[in-house]
Amino acid sequence: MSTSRNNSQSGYLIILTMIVVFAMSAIALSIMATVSSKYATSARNLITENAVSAAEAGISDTVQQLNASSSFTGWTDTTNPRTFYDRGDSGKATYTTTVSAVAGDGTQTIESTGKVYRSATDPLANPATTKKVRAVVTRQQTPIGGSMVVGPGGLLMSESGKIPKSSGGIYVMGKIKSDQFSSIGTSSDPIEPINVANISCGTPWPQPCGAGSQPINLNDIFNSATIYGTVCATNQTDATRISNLLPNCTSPIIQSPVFDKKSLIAKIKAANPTPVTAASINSQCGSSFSPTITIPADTWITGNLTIDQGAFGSHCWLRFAGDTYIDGTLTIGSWGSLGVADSAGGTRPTIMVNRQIAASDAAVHSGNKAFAANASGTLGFLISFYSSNNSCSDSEVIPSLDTSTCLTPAQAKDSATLPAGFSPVTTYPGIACTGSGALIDFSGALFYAYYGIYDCASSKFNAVGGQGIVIRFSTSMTLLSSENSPFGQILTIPVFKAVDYQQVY
Amino acid sequence: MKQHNKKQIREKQRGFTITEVIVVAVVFSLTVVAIAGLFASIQSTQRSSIYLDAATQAARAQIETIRTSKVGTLVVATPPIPTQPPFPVDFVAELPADSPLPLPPNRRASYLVTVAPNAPNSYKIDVAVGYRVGALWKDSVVTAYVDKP
Repeated sequence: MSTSRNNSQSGYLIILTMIVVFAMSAIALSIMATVSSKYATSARNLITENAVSAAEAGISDTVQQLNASSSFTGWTDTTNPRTFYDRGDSGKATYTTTVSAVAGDGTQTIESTGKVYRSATDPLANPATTKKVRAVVTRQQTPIGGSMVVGPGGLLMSESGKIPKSSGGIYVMGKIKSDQFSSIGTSSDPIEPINVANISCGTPWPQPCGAGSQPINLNDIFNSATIYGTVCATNQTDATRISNLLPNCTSPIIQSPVFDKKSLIAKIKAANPTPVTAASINSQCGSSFSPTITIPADTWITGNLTIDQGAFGSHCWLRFAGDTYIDGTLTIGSWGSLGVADSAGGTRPTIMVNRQIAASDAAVHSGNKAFAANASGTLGFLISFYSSNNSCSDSEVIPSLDTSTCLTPAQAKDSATLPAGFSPVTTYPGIACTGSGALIDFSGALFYAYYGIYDCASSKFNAVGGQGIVIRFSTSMTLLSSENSPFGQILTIPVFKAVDYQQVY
Repeated sequence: MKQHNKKQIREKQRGFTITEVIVVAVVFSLTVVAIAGLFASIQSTQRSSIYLDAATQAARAQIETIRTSKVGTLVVATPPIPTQPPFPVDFVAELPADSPLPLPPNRRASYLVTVAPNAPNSYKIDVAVGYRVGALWKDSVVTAYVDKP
């Protein structure tokens, strides 16, 4: 018995060694597996981070589309998702979105799905990870941004017309035609961003112009016109003389800004129910020597107002102390001058004109500007409702926050049409300044043509906007340097903003 | 008979054979060497994991910094636009020394600002935070849209 036990003990050391080796290996492999798992988790965290970012980008993209059209239903095509980034072998991220209405007040729910792929060539059905984000957005009236807002009529730059500087962006809903020696921005001061949505086609007007339609045309025999800035122009592929054209960029489509004319007229009429006739102001100009006439705040003027020569060949200056409504035309002659009264202090007056503002050679003999800021440097808003439909131009209840226009699409197109080069067509300039070529100085004003266009040659403005803009001859338009939303005080657009946000697991 | 049995027992208890000792020594040595290598790999992987976490968190933190305090001063990159790090704007000096997680001294951090092609009212920000492993840089690249002010 004893002999048998001792025999069984032979070679026990190797067995013991094997057990120890096995145990050590198991422990080491276990630690390795744990650490590898930790590393995989870290790598996965990065992927998850980008998947959430992709889903959030889908929310941003969809909100911007909703701002262009509140009937947008989302980027729902899962076989052709929107690309968030594509780094080739290093991976790709995409998103799709859906939009559903929550209530009749414009509140919408956006659900966005972000997917990250380890390689750009991975099949769509095999993402490395997927994340969902849900946001509830509501519609709010928001002041417009941008130093120049141009509607579907587009922006025509010609001769030596220039926009050398802008602290804010330029938004053009239609197209840009720039020729001869005109330019936007400078090499040392590029404008950012310049968005060109290319929406000036189709019926009912305006509709997006199709692929292949270049929204920016800088070509003529001089090959000199240039755009310096970061340009996002839908369908634009020709980057000739555009310093930084974003490839394959789709410009946001914003709805036309709304001016609440109805409320402002109601406020003016509540303060002063009896109108002042334009003729009485016209006669004040002609009966005094170099008069300065102050129009009190909340004045309602009926008839066509002309500011020109005072008595004995003198000038006539008109100063606005506050908001003014002119139910007619406004003409500024070569001896006349408009401006903001010093008594207005730092409050910008809004001067509404139902019809056209005529300013040919305005103020060139007046010893003052065509429109002057006051001693505090306060500018004035000039807004014209001139259009192809007089009854719409004269309406006192439209536009309002509820109804932005009373024009039919065809009338809106006529009103926004730009002159075709040197063969003018019928146009509806909210301000018209053809003249002898002398500089017409409106540097105390911000002008907006609500239905029509801006066509004021050889002029100087602080900021302009309208359904169409013409900048030509020697016009040099330095857009406000002290603020980037000069029209934000009077013009708003409906903007969707997120009020609730959550990740969906 | 008793003497014979005692002799047998003594023979069985005389110790290990040289072959046994050599086999055990070789097996044990090989195992120790292998496990040592494994532990070196474990240490390296552990370090990489920490660095990767740190880089990702630093990149995410920079996105938030841009969103909250830099968005008004962003400048869009002009062509040629780089597709791989390093990007035009260097912020390595803004990286914390060892918080929330440590990064090695050989580190880099940069970001790229472009206009989001799908949402032009937003900037597209690519933030890369990287560290050096041998001759190679490993970068965590986090991308996000940041709405313009």
